[in-house]
Amino acid sequence: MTSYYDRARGSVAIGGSLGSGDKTKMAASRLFQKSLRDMITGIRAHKDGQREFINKCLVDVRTEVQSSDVRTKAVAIEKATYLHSLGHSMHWASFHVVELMSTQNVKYKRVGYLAASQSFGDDTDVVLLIPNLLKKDLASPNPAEAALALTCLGNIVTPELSQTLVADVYSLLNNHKPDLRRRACLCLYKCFLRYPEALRPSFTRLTECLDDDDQSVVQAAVTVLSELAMHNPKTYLPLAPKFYKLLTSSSSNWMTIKLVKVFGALAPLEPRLAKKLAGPISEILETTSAKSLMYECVRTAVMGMTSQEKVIRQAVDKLKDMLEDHDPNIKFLALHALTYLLDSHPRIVAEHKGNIFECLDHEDSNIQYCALKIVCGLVTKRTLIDTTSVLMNCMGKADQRFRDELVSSVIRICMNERYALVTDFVWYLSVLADLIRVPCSSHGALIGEQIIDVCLRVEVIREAAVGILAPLLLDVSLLEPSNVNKTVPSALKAVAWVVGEYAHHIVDHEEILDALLNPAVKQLPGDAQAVYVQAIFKVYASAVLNYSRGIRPTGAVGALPAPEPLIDISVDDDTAAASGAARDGAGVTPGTLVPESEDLIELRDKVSRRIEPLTTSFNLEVRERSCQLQKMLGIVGAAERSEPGSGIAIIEAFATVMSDEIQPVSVKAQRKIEVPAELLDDEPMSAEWDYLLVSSDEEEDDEYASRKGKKKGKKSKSKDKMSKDLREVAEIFGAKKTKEQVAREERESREMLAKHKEKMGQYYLEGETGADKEKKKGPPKSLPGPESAAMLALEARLASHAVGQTERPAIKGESDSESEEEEQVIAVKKGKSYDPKNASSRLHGELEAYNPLKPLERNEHLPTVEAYPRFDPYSQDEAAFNAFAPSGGDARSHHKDKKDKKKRDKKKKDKGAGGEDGESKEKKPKKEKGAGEKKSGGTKKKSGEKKTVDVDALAQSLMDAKV
Amino acid sequence: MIKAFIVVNNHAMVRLCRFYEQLGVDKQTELCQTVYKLVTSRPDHLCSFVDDEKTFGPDTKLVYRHFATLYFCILSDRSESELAMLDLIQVYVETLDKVFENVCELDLIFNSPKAYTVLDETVVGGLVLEISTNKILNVYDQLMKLEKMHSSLMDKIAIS
Repeated sequence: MTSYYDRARGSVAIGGSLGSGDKTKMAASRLFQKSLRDMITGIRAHKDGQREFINKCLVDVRTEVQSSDVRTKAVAIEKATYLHSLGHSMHWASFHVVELMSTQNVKYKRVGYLAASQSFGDDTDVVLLIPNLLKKDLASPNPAEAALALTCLGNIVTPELSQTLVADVYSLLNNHKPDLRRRACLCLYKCFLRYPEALRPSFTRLTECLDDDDQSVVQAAVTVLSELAMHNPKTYLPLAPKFYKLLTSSSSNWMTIKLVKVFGALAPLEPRLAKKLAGPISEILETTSAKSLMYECVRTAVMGMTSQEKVIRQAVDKLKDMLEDHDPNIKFLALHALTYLLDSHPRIVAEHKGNIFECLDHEDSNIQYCALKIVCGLVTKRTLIDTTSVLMNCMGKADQRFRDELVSSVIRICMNERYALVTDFVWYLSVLADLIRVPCSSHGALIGEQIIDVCLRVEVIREAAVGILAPLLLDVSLLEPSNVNKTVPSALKAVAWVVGEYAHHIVDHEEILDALLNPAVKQLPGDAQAVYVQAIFKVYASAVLNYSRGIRPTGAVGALPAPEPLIDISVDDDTAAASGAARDGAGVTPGTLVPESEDLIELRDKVSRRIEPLTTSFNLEVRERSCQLQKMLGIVGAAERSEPGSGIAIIEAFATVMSDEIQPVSVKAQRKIEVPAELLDDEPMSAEWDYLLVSSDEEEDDEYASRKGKKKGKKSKSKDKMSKDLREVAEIFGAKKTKEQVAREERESREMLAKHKEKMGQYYLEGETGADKEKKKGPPKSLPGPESAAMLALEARLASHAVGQTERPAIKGESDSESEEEEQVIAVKKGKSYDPKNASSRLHGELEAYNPLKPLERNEHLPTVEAYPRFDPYSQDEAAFNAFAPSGGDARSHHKDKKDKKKRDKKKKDKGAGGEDGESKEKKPKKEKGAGEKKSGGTKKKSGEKKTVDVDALAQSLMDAKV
Repeated sequence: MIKAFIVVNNHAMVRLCRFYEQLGVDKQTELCQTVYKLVTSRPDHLCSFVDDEKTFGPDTKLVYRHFATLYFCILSDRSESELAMLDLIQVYVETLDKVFENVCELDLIFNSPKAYTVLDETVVGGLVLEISTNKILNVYDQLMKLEKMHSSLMDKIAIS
C-alpha cells in the first residue's frame, strides 16, 4: 500500500500537472478513499465480522476527516453520518461538520448540514461555534442556503441557539420569497419551544402571516399557531375568529384538518363557538370526500360540540359507516371517537351496540380494547346481565391478555360504586364462580376478595353462595398446579372460607369434607391450605351439629351449654381448651347426650386419617392447625368411648361458637364508640421510655434536616449534630466506655471517614479545605465504630441522593410527601424508553407563562433584528470567549433604546475589542477575565492554524463577530 | 408535532431515522428497536396505530405503514391527525418513488442522504412543510440542479 502510494505520488509529481506536494496528497487521498457506496457494500459483505469492519471504517473516517481536501472531508462526513445512523455516535466529528457547513460549495455544505441535523444535540459543544455561521447563512442571498440553515436550525435548535438566532429567523418572515417565509414560520415554532421569551414579541407578525398572499405561508402559520393552541387552548381562544375565517375559505385539505383539529380543542372552552361552527362543520361533513378530513370533523363534533344535536347526529351517522368499514384503521378511529360521546350521549352510542359488540371479537387488540372501553361505559342496571354474558362469551375466543382484561372489566363494572349496578347478587356470585374457571386468569385474588365481600355484606345470599361455590371445591381439576390455574388457589381460598363459614347451609357434608381432604390440596399454597384445614373443622362440626339436632326432639337450644364461657375457651389455646371443654361440656350440658352414630364415627376417623399428611407440612400454620384438629378429634373419640355422647357435646359446643357469623361493620363504626373514661391515651407509658421516644424523634428530625440542609450545603453542621445524637443513643444502650476505648474508636472512625472521603470524594460538598477544617475540629468527640459505619453509609446514600436522585430507591411513606412525589415522577420517567430531554409537551408548559396576546410592555419593542434580545454564547461560558462578545446579556437591558444602542455600537467600533473588555471588567472578576483572554487567544490561534480556503470562511465569521 | 420519523426494515435494520426531539444516540437506537418490535408484532391486516402509554409516555402515538420490506413509522403527539400522518407517509414514499424511480430498500441504503433531503423538504423540525409530491419534487430538482451548477462552477474555479 505504502509503496503504491509513493509511486502514485511520484508519478503525479513527474507528470507535473500538480505542482505542490499538498495537491498531490489531496489527489491521492481522493484516489484511495472509499466512497460511501463502497463502505456500505463492504459492511453488507462482511456479514460475519461486521463489527470489526465497521471499526476499521471508523478509523479510516477519523483520519480522512482531517484532510484538507473538501471533497475527501465531505465523503468522510457522509460516511460518519451513515455510521451514526447505525448507532456509532459521530460526536467526535462535530468540529469537522462545522467546517463543512461553512464551505462555499452548496453540495458540501448540504452534507455538513445534514450531518449536523442528524448528530447535533443540546450537549454538542460546537454549538457554540455555529451561531455566526447560521446567522450568515440565514441572511444569505442564496435562498437554498437560507433554506438549509432554517431546516437545520429547526432540527437542532437549543435554547442558546434560539436566543441568538430567533431575530434572524424572524426577519425572514418578511422575505420576499414565500418558500423562505413558510420555512421561517415553522422554524420559529421550534425556537419558541426552546426559548419561550421569543414568542410574545413575534406573535403579532406570526398572526399576520395568516393573511399572507401565498397559501403555503398561510398553511405554515396555521400549522404553527394550531400547534401552539392545541397545547394551551385557553390562551389562543382570541384567535378563533381568524381561524374561523380561514376554515370557511380554505381550499387545502391539510390546512382544513389542522383548523378543524384546533377547533376541537377550542370549542369545549367557549360554548358559543360550537353554535358558530355547526354550519361549516356540517358542510364539510356533507361535501368532503377525504376520509381524514371527515374524521377530524367528526372528532371535533363529538369532542366540543355536544350541544349541537344536529351536527352530532350527522357525525354519528358518519361514524356508523366508519364502524362498518373493512379498513381496521377507520374502524378503530370510529370507536375512538365514540368514546368521547359516552358521557354526553350514551343513548346515541348505544344505538351502535351491535357493531361495537362485534368489535370485541376483532383480531386487532386496539379495536378490542377500545370496544371494551365503550361497552363498559354503556352498562346500565338493565343491561348489566346481558352485557356480562356477552363479555363472558368473548373470553372463549380472546387471547390471554385480552381475556384478563375482560375478566377484570366484568368485575369492575359490577363492583363499581359499591355494586351500584348489581341488583341480583346470587347472579353476581355465579358470575364470579364462572370467572374462577377462566383459564390462565391473573385475577384469582380479586375474585376471592369479591366473593368474601359479597358474602359478608349480603346476608341473604349466604345459603345460595354455599350452593354455588361448593361445586368449585369438588372440582379436582382446579387443584392442579399448572399455568392454567395460576391464580385459582387465591380464589379457592376464599371459596373454602365461605363454605366453611356458612357450613350450616351445606347439604351433603360428607361430600364437601371429601373434597376438602383431597390429597391434591397439598399442592395448594400454604395460606390456602390453612384455610382448608379450618374449613374442614367447621364443616365437620356442622355435620355433627346437624346430626344431633336431628336426633334431639326438643330442639337444640336447651341441650347446648351457655355460649359465654365457650367464647373465652375458643380464644385460648385450642388443644388445652378442648380438653377443658370436654370436661366442662360433659358436666354442664343440661340436655340429653346424643351418642355418636356409626356414620359420624366413620367420618371422624376419615378426617383424622386423611388430615395426617398435612400434620407434617412445612408451613407452620398448616401444621399447627392440622395437628390441633387431629388431637381434638382424638379427644372427642376418647370422650365418646368413655361416655357416649360427651364427644358430640364437645363438638356441639364448638359449633355453637362458630355459628356466630361475622357481620359487616362500617369503617366509621369505630368513631361511634366512646372512649372509656379510664383510658388515658395522653399519659406517657413510662418516664424512661418517653425519653427514648423523644430522642428517636429528634433523630428523625435531624435526618430530615440533614437531607434538607444538604441541598443548602450545610452538611457538616447537621452531620455533627446527627452523630452527637447517635452517640447519645449509643450511650443509653451501651455501657460506659473507658477513655482508651473511646480514643481508639475515635481513631478508627476517623480513619474510616478519611477512607470514605478518598473513595467518595466527589460527594463531599466542601473540598479539601472543608475536610481539613473538619480534621482540626476533630470529628465529634466519640463516634462509636459500628454506628459511625452506619452513619457513613447513610451519608453516602444521602450524598448520592443529592447527586443523582434517581439512585435512591423509592420507599413509600419514608420521607415527606414532597420528595416522595418527586421520586414517583422520576420513577415513572425512568420506566419509559422514550424520554426526550426536550419533550414538546414539557416545553409547552414553559410556553404557557408567556401570553402572546398581552400588549407589549414599554421596554418590549416591536421586534427588529437589532431590538431582539441578543444572546451571546461566549459570555455565558465564564467569559471564556469574551474577546468577541457583542456585550452579551446586558444588550437586553439596553435594547429598549435603539438610539442608545447605536451609539454604543459606534463607541464599540471605536474602541474595538479593548473597549469591550473594559466594559466587562466591571462585572467580571479579574481572575475569570484573565482566563477568558487566555482561552480566546487559544481559539484564535487554533482557527488561525487552519489556513485552507473553507476554514477561512469560518475564521472570517468568527472575526466578524469580534469586530 | 411529529416527534420522530423512523424507517426500519423487516430485520430490525434502521434505514432512516430523524428525531425532532433531543435524544441521545443510545436512546435513539433503543426507541427504534422498541418501535420495530411493536410494528412487527402486528400483522398487516390490523390497524396502523399504536397508543402505548407504557412505552412511549403520555401524548405520543405511533402511526406506521408497511411497504414491501420497510416499515415507515411516525411518532407524533395529539395535535397531528392519525389519518393525515398516514397520508404523509404515503406522500413521502411516493416522492421517494419518483426520485429513485421505483424505490426499493437498496435505494434507501445507498442513497440515504437523498432520502434525508426529501424528508427535510417534507417535514421541518417536526412540522409538516409540504404535502404535495409534485411540489416537493420541484424543490428537490431545483436543489439538485443548483448543486450541479455550483459544483461545476467551483470546479472551473479550481482548475483555473
